[in-house]
Amino acid sequence: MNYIIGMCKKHKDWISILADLGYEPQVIEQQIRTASDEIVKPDIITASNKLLHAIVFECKGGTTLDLHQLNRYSALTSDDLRRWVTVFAPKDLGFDLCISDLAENHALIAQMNKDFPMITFSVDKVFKTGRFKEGKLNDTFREPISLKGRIPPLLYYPFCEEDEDTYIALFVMRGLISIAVKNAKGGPSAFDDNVIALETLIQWIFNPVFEALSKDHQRRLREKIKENIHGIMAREDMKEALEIIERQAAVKIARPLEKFTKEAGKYIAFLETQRPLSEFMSKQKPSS
Amino acid sequence: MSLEPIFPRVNFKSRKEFMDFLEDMMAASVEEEAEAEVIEETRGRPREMKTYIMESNNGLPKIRTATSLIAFQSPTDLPEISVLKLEYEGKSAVFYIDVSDPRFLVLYTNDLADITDPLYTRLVNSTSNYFDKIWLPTKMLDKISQLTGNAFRGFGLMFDDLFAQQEPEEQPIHELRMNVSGASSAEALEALSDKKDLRRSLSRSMVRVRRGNKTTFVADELRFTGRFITKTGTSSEDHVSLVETTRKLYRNLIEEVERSSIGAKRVEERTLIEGQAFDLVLEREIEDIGLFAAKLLTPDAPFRLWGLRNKVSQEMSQIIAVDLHTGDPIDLEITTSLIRIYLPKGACGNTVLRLYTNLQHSFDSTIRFNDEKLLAIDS
Repeated sequence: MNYIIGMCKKHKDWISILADLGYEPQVIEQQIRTASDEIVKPDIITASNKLLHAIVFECKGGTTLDLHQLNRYSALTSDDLRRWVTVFAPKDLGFDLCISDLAENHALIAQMNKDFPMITFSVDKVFKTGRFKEGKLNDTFREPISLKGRIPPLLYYPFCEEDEDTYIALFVMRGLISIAVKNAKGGPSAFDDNVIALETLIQWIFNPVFEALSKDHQRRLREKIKENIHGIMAREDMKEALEIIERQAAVKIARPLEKFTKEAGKYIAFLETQRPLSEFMSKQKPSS
Repeated sequence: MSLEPIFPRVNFKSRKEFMDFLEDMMAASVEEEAEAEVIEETRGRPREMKTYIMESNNGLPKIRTATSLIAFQSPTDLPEISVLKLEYEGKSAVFYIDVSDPRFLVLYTNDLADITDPLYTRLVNSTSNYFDKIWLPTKMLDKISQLTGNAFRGFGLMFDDLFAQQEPEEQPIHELRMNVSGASSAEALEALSDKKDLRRSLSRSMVRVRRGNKTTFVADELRFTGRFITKTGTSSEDHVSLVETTRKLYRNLIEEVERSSIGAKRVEERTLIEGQAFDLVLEREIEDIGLFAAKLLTPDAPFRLWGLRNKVSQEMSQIIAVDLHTGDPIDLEITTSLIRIYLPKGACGNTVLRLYTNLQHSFDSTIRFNDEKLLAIDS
């Protein structure tokens, strides 16, 4: 998802090929009802005023592809998209459905997808298979595009609920520090039970793009974030460090922050040690 | 508590009265200077008028004080002007605050800079409030000094390499401080700019600007932190006009930064994503990203950031950070040649400018935004 968003932005050290064609990321995870009464939920839709064209992306990080979803996409029309996509002349809007995947899974995904063009990312290049209806896209992706020395922007969409806790915890701990610092300025306390339910906290932890995610995805992320908050607050040393920050934030914040940073490091190390165990436990669960 | 003994007996019933008051402050400074016959530079000679532009995220609230900084506030009959007395460890100063623009407050004082500077810094850095200094990038200082009606009369350079890995004596420039004033200052700056070894260290700590005509004028020293010291002249109109121009230019820059912040916006039934991360392009390569991040997040560093580092690869780290000025989150991606800044919607754009400007003074003065709109404003 971040790779696609990044291609719609003009960043140094990343490819701006979609931005150059006028595409901007518009809608994330929007559930769309097609004229044939089917529901599809693309990961991201980008649209270009210059080309009066949208790309509906289905991003695949793994090896599976929902064949029913692909069939439903076949029923998607410009009429269905017009309600969600903003362009100057909506009646002339065209679109392509595109599967985006990773090179290591490409052979498997490509086997399942015969109808739609694909954009595939490897460590050193991005390449297209299949044909877009929009000729400019075919021209742009005619040859593989080198990603050597490129640095993708990764924080537009900072994490998903499937990411490691060691990664998500960084954002959650940051969110708690945000609250503690704001507490010194008259904001609520991180120890107020209601704070955990605050939507603003969730947005500080993720980022405001959270608001654009589907309700279902928001729910899953919220649960994951809360699980992490409870995990952190269950540790006495973390709690104590946070308490000191809240108590001393208005006075001298540097030392309590250093203490929290130290405890954060220990917590991440602890999560690292838990990983093999949780991986083992998940392997023991009966497959659904 | 009665405020009578604490505050000087001043009140303003009109804007004109306030401007006259400023003019008196400036005239007093010029007279005292003549009497003192002080030639050498100090951090603000007695009674020179000092003006500070302070950024605030919630106007001028009742100032929350902690530790031993004490603040007394008193309104005047002019709604946008109030009087503020700050006290710390037995030292005090009186500031006259103009809140016409609640985002950028202007504080005037003619108390000694040796007292007003630390008091002001203590107020701004107090974590109980939402205050910050403004952070004028080098190109913006140059631009202000070249605006119509202004004449460039000097500059200061200040570069202190916080990120150096070699011993100071092994570096091309470890520290550079220099003040130049007079009619040929522009030539002096040009000569320095031509020196290859110096070009990454030429961050401006201040510019000297003369504004007005032969008889009515002001000559101000404008520091990169938004502090003006009136060196000569008594034209309060020219002084206020220079302050206003600076404030407006800076406001435009901050607003442009905040327009790019990352978030979602509702358009009819749709939620669209918007914004773009900023790229700070570095000519000087970061040798050790881990060390760089550690220095950036040092609590005493001028960046006012706290954060946790995630090493993505040998070439890239993420910093999941908090701006200690507001408590707002901010994310960074750091490579050897680039710092990418993700400012979330609702967060304060001053964080980006604080980082940018202070990196000019502590890492590389040639650092620049890879953003046409920001480049256009900051040049």
